[in-house]
Amino acid sequence: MVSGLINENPIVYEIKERRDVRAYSSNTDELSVDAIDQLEVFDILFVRLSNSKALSHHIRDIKDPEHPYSLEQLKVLTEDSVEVDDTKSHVRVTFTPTVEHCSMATIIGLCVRVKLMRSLPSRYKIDIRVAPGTHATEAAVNKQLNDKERVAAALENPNLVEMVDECLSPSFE
Amino acid sequence: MAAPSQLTEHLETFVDVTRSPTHHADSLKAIVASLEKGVLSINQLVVEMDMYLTTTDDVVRARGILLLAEILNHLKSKPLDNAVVHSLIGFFTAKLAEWRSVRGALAGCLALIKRKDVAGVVTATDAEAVAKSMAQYVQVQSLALHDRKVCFELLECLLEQYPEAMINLGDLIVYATSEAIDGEKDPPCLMVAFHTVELLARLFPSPSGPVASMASDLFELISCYFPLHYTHTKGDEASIPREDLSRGLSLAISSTPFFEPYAIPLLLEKLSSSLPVAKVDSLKCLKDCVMKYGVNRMKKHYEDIWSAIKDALYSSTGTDMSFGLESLTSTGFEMDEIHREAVNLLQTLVKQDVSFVGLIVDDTRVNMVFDTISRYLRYEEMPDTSKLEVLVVSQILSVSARASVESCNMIFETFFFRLMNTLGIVEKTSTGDLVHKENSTVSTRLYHGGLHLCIELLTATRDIISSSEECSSTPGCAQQSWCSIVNRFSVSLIEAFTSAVQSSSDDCSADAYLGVKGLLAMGMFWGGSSPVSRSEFEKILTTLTSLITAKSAKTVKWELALKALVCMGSFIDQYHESEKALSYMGIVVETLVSLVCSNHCSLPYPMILEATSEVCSTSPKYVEKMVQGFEEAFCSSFSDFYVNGNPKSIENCPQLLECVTNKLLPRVTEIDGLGKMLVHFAISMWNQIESSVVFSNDVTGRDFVEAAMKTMRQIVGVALVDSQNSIIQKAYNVISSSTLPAMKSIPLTFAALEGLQRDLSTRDELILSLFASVIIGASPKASIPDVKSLIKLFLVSFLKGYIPAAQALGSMVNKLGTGSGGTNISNNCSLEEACDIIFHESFASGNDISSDDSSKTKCGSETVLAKICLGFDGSLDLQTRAITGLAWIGKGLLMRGDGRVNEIALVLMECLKSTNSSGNALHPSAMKHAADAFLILMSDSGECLNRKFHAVIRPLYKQRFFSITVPILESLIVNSQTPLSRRMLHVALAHVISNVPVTVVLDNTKKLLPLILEGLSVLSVDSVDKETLFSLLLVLSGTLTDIKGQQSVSDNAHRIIECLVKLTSYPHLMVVRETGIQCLATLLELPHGRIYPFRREVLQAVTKALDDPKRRVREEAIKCREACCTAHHYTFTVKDVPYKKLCSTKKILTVNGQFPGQTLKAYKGDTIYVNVRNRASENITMHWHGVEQPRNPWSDGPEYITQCPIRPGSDFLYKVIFSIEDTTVWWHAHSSWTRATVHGLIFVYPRPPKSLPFPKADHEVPLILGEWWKKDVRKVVKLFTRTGGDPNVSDALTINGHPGFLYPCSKSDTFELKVEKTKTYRIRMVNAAMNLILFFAIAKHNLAVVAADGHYTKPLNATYITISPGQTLDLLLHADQNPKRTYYMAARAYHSNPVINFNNSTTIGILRYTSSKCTKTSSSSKRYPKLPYYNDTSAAFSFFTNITSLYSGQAPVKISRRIISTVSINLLMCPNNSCEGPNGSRLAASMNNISFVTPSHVDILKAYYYHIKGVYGTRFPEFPPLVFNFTAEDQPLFLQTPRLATEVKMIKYGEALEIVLQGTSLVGGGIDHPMHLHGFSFYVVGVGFGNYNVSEDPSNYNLEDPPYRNTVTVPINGWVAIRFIADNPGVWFMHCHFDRHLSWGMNVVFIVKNGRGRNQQILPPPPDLPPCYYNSIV
Repeated sequence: MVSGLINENPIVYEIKERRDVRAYSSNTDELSVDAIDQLEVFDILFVRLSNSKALSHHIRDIKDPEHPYSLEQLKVLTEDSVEVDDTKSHVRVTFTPTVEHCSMATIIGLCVRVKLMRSLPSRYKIDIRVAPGTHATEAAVNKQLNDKERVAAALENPNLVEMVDECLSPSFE
Repeated sequence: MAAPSQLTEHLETFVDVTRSPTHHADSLKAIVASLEKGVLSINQLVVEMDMYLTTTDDVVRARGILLLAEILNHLKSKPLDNAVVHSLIGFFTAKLAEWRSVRGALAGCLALIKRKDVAGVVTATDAEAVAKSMAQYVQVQSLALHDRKVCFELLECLLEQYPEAMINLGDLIVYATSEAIDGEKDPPCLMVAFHTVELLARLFPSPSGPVASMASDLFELISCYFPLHYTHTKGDEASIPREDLSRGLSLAISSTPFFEPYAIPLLLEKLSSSLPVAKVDSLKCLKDCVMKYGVNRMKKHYEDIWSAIKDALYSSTGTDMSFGLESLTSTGFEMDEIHREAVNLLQTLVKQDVSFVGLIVDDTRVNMVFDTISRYLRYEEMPDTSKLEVLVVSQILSVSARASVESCNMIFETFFFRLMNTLGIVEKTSTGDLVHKENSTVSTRLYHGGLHLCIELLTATRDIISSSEECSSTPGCAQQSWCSIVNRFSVSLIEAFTSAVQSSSDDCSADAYLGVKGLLAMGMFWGGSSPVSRSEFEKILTTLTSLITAKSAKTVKWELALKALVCMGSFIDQYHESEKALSYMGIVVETLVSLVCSNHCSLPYPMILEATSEVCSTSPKYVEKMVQGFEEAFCSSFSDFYVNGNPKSIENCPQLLECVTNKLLPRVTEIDGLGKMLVHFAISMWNQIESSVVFSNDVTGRDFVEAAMKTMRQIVGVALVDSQNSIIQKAYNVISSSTLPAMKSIPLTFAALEGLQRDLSTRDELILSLFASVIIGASPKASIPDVKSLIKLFLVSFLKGYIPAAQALGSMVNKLGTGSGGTNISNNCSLEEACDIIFHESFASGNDISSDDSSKTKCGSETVLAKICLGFDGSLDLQTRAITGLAWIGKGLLMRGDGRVNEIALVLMECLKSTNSSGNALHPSAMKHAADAFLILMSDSGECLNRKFHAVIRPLYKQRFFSITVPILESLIVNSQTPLSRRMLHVALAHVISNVPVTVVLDNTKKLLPLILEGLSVLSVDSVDKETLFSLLLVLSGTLTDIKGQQSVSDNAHRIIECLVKLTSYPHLMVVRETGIQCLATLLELPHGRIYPFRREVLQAVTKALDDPKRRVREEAIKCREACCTAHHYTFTVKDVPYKKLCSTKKILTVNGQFPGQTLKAYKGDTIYVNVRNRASENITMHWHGVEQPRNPWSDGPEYITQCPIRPGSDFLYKVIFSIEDTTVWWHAHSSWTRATVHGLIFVYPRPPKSLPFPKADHEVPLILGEWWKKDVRKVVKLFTRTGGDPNVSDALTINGHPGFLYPCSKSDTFELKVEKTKTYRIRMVNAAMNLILFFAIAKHNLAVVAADGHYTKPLNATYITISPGQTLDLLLHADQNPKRTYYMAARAYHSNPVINFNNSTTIGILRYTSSKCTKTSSSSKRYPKLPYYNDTSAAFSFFTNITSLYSGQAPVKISRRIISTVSINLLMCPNNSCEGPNGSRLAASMNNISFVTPSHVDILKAYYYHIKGVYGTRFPEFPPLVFNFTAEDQPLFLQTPRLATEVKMIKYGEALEIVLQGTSLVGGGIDHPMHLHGFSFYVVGVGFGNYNVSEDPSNYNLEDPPYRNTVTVPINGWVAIRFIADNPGVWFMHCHFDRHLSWGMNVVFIVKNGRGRNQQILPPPPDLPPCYYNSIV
């Protein structure tokens, strides 16, 4: 069982209203291309992530057993923190840990990375960063998250994989 | 009830409290029935019951009285003698004094008092006695819930039915009631209680009465509930909704004016609270009070209430007003509930007492508004606060004005002048008089706020009129002062509003909105006494109309004006204002209609049409006008175009016609006479064509022709038969006078047909199309003249390429001959004749077809038309036209269910063949048309042949056609030779399949699925077929999700996936890709493992789809990929990992480095795949304990029984098939003693929507009990197998791998479970210890057992549990203890044999409440659980035997075979007594004296499956070979030696087995044995101590609800009997789950042979089964 909470009283923000009705203007035109944009990546991260209870379960372990806040409510991730360039096949996600010493930062980053790896075309280069100045070991975390070898190694670690999978898979309850 | 004994029996049953409630209900019913039938009289009953009613046994007496009461309750409508009633009520009244019988007494009183008038009632005196007795003896609040409710009901009844009697009681009854209510908490009781208060208040209205004197106390009792607040669970149906209860409370509070001094201050105080619910309730309650308490009492509170209302209004209103169209007729802003209630209250107040208005009039805040409004001219300029002020004040004023005429007058007198003054309509003269400025519109100041207030007031007066006129016949409003005020200002107001509209710019909708709304308000006064004169009214209309006509584009202003006009129109219509209607007609309608005709206006034509149709739709009179106008407009533009050749004039006609079809036709049923007008319209269309004999313009307006056809069709469609006839007649006259009839006289030669194409004039074409439309729309009853020649005409024209002609022909064929009798002229031609003409009319050509007999005629009716279709003659064009025409004719026949359609279908299919009967290949385009003909045949057409156009439709015609054509098409596909023909046949089939209702497809999935799949792959080749492909794909997706289709889906899974994978990259249609991926995702959800082998393919396809250009496809792909990844696949890497426990570190074998191993999760019925990778240095196998693995022994796991071990470095994929397992099972290694550290839990969940049979817990807690050796377990095994002695006992017990602080170095290595108070935890527990049965308990907490060994049990509350190795339990733990304390959980051994060494230590875990984390707990507050003593056999087995299955009647009652086997410990002699067992011998174990020798080179399953000889024998005895006193204290030594062998027991499939396991006292006095059977769960039907007695013991079996388990503990020197049906073919191990006994040979193998059925046989072996190395060794 988990001992003590890292951040017992996180600030909870209201969820920004999302334009939920997306204009599928290209429905009629078979040949047009919908480029992958910021909102789509954010949706990948959230519409599924926060809907799959597992993550909120998981985050609940980290934050507060009383209130299952989503990463969005805690402003760990916002729509603006996603930068996408479809033509260059590049995506960059910047997330903000709630406290400077959040030891879950790497786990959150890894979850985000795995989620994107599984959901974006393979041509994409994924770049995950901690927002500048928000984490004590910012450089280390950034390095860890973007080092291909280390990510691959992390995903060999069954404990970590289980944790990440738990985050991303639908729950049984 | 013939015999009294029967009655006695029933009485006995009811009185006996140990019987079940159903028994009670049954006996009650029986007695009531006999009473009702009159077999038994009530006197007799009472005499019979005497004993039960008077006995000194309290319980029996209480039951007896209750019975009597219940009986009376059922006999409410049976007439009874008054004397009987009297004596009964006397009896019950007396019994009220006895607290034990009070329940029955209350119920009895209630039943009697509730009696109907007819049937003998309780007298007033008796009722009084009841009430007295109640008041004296019954302490309501000390009773149970149900009885309290009865009490309140009794009180309610008494008060309601015996008012006089109760008044006599006076104080007493009031006192009793208040006593009863005091402290009540249950909603249903409160509901009744509130009502009794209300009744009391009604009974004692006098100010000197008891209620008045006790008002303060009584009010205190009920006021404590205010405002009601309770949060009960929503699913609780019996409970009362908050609204009802709150209403009841409000009624109680307002019930008597005596409450006033207490109630009003309380309500005002609650109103100021911040809780919205409290506010709403207070406002509602205040309203009730105002109405009940009377003006005088309320007056002193007016000021407080007024300020409270103001507060509520200001705080609850938003500042946003909508200026949309909808709000033109409504209040214009959203009201929340508080606001609404505040408004209601205000209105009630004003209505009650007009003097309240004085408060409003004097209010500073209200008055201030009139000063502020003049600061801002436009809405946009106003600050939010000012907007709010205006809004609220307008609301207040309008509500109070609306309340009554007097208040209205007051408001107007006070405010209207000021308002006018502000707006500059009146001016103050120097003398202070207000002077109305007549002609000074220039100086009017159009302040937004002012206008707003004005309008609100005006609208309010309108409501006043309508409400006052409804009740009084004399419209007296003209005399009212407000009316004269309005009248005085009406001219200037209208001007002001007009200028507001006109001056407002287009972008400022707020001002325009106000202007229009103001005009509307002014225009909607009604009756002769209207303050607005007719000329002013007309002015308003003119203004609005000019607004509409002036604009050239659609603006908000335009729409507002239109809406206002429509409102006024319907208003006039509603109140039958004939004068105004005339004005409206003259000004609005005629202007607009003239616009339609003249078409010389800047307004775009569609807008003119919209305005006209909207305005005119308000009254039938206007509609008439409009149709006339339209007719005129149509005629003029038609002739202008065709006769005068003006190309522009035709442009508006389609729009006009569209307006007619869309706006007018749907309303035919609503508006009287509209049908007639439309018919007139249609006829005048024909007239127009007739009169314009020569068209100067030869260009056809395509749009026009289509719109005309549509209009014509629909008008004919909705018209009555008579009108249809007249239209047809007219049309026929026109057509017969045209040049068209010449066509039918044309000789039917190909030359003529092809030549004629060009020489049909525009006029003829128009006439033909319109005529076809008339025919399509006509009903079967309408008469069509000269059918035969018309048929010929249509025949010729469709061959010339006029599709409408073909449709008309189809329609004719469909409707012919169904008309009734002589009225129908068209039955001069029967269907046969018509068909004869169509099919047999010969077309003369160069070569004579009709004499061409060389072609083989399939059936007698193969026709001439058919031959054209088949391409014998004529050009390709002709052929395709013939095919399409034929399809339409076929559709007509098909829908009426005529058999001739089959011939047509055959012709069409002939066209699709690669080579037809004459050996010629058809042209591709002809084939394409033939394939599409099936679409025409099957699909619903909007153009013709549907219900709207009176088509004859036979039910299920599609299904019929489907069942005829599909087999033929199928065989044609099989035989087709060219790819083209094949494709075309598939297109045709796809049309048929996708248009038939999906249920039909579902009934035939087995047959259709392969066809659909083939169709999909054929159609995906060419982009031309994309629409067809999509509709076929939709059919497929329909079958995937349906239960009916699932079996064949799973049979064809491979092909479906292959096909879908291909479609995920279909380039031509996005929806095809999207649907394809959705289908794949659906397939992945199927519970069977068929999908798994294709996982890789699916994954690849879906990954590729992640890069799809379309976002929707990508989203589906992500979903699908997720489903794919989580689809039940696990990897177990077995490896050595160092772990530190008990002060030392050792390497242990783990799965994925975890100890204990990970928890697997699955739904019931799932199949999961676990890839076991052996990366350790020893052999391993994996067993899924408790998973029955139907037909799949290959993945069961015991080493050398069902498989050879997985060698280091190699892998094996286990397929774990869940079937009937419901809850918790587990997995562990099954090779040597490796399971010591290689184990984990498996959570099974019910597959949604199924749910658990017990309440869902808040959290799930995995809990694994285990054993830990400091030494390497391998070494322990090695040692004891070498020496032959007992193995070393373990060093510690563990909970989830933690030994607990009682062990050395383990202070921090203690399992801790954090719980929250009031939550429920579901502990899913397994005993994974190697050699110990364990007791487990948690201090102060009860554990509810809800499942055992993967199956539900009846809930069992236990203070401790016993769990044998291999068993699993699901326990519910309610965290209901003092959260300040810490509680321990503990487990230690149950060990019954003192001779044998065992680990007697205790493992401890902590149960901590999360809130207690910070408070330091003292050691005294720690609680250790109580565990039974080590050798407490009765404690251990009382737990086991208390477990029962949740379901009853499932265990086999009859058995076909009983196997009795001993389980015993034995000794083997060692040379020189050199072993370390007793007396230097070697320890062994046996069943039926055979100590099982595990094969060492090849497993038994493989040997059985591949018939390898010499691995095992089949002679395991069914009965102990030596019968002796198995449980005697001393046993002769010779019995101790077993036979060493590998013997199995062969079982036939489906046998009902009973296995009795008999423990023995051999070697050291015996011990308990937890026996586990693989492959089955069994029912533990009997357990006993001593020797099993085959003749006696079976009679004591529990066959009703025995526990359903997979591991059963044989008690020390006792026996168990288990039963199961051997319906799982395979090789199944049975063994003692003490691993030392397993190693010594207490095992047996059952081989269940294959059954006959397909699914009664072992599955084929998996390809990667670990190899055995017997060949190289032998």
